[in-house]
Amino acid sequence: MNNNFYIWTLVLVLLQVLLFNNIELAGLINPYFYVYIILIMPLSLNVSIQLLIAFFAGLIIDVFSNTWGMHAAATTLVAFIRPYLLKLIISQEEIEKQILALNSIRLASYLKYAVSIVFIHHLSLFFLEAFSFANFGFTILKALCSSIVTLILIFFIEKVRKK
Amino acid sequence: MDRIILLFRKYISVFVFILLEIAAILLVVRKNDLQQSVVFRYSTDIVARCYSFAASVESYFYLDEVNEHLVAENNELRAKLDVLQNQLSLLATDSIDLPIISSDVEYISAKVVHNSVYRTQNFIIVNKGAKDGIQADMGVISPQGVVGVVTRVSNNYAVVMPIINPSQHISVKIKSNQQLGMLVWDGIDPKFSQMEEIPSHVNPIVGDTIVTSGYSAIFPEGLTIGVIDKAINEKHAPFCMVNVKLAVDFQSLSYVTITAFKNRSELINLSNAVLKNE
Repeated sequence: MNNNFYIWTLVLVLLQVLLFNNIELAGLINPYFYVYIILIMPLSLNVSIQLLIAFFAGLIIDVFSNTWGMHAAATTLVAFIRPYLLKLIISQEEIEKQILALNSIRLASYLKYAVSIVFIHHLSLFFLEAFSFANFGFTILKALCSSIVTLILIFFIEKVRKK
Repeated sequence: MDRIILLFRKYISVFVFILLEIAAILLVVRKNDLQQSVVFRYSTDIVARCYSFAASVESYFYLDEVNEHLVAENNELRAKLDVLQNQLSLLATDSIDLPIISSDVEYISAKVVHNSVYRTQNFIIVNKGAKDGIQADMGVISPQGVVGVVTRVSNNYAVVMPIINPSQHISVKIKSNQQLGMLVWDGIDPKFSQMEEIPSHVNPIVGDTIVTSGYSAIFPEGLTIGVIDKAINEKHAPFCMVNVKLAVDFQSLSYVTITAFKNRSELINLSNAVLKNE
């Protein structure tokens, strides 16, 4: 799983910049599928390494989409929050399992985990993009819609990997 | 010391996170225009408010001097007014209906809240902003001459880049022979600036006045810049070096006037359209 993870990171980052960045429907839906990297990051890694990977993955996406620092900030935030979030949401035994995927923990837990990570990431991202409370409602709406689409994509991938 | 190291090792992930997050935010603010303009708007406002308060205390001590300047300027203007009125009445007795020529330049007066003179890149903050109708790229003058150009505007304050800033280039001309040139400051003495692009066949005479050329959407022509102080004309050089003694005393700048062409947006749109078609 460990080596698998790094390949996944590369593939996801490339997919994001080449494919998913171009999806902009109705001005509301901008899915950022590469958050899946944070979801499947192995828990056994050193926290600092996790943060660095998250930072650079976000930075690469930034460089490609000319939004310097925004994805890096959002991804680092989510990577940092992840262990604390897990402690809150998921029971200790499931965390001990070391693999967070649909086929290893309960659906409800995985749902809570994925939704919170994705939503926090998209929310911070869109807020950094807007950088003011001017169109507050619209920013939140964007975050919501984009999170939903991202989550749908993540669920598809998880179902595929289950097999 | 040991305890500090222990603390550091325990919380190293938090430190790394804070470091990375700060780096990311810095990137966001420095490299993205929208974020930069929001930061500039709020920072200019806060900084200018502090300076404004300090300046109001300071200016109390200079009231006498400023009063004298104002009285002198008043007298000068009254004298000019008298002359013009006399001229007008003389011409009007010919029973021709003289049209009232309305000026196409609008003047907004402002007080200097912060000033810097001895740095390499100087800037001025004035206490009028967007809500008083100030926009970027408006000209700023004082009774002595040209001061600079407005660069950034927040709601209540504006930042002016004076001619004593190397990034500020003003199109100027020698008054006597209409020779065009560019005024660029070399960063050394705030009392002197340099005029460039004067071909060496022109013989600039010490004592000639330098004025704005009028070839810009910012300043009308004829505004005083300064007086030629030194003209060095080397034999085989394509251009000569002209030193200009600036008319404005930036050290004692207190009140300025911001000039706005009433039709400047029209002028700018027109020149942009021409540039695009080239």
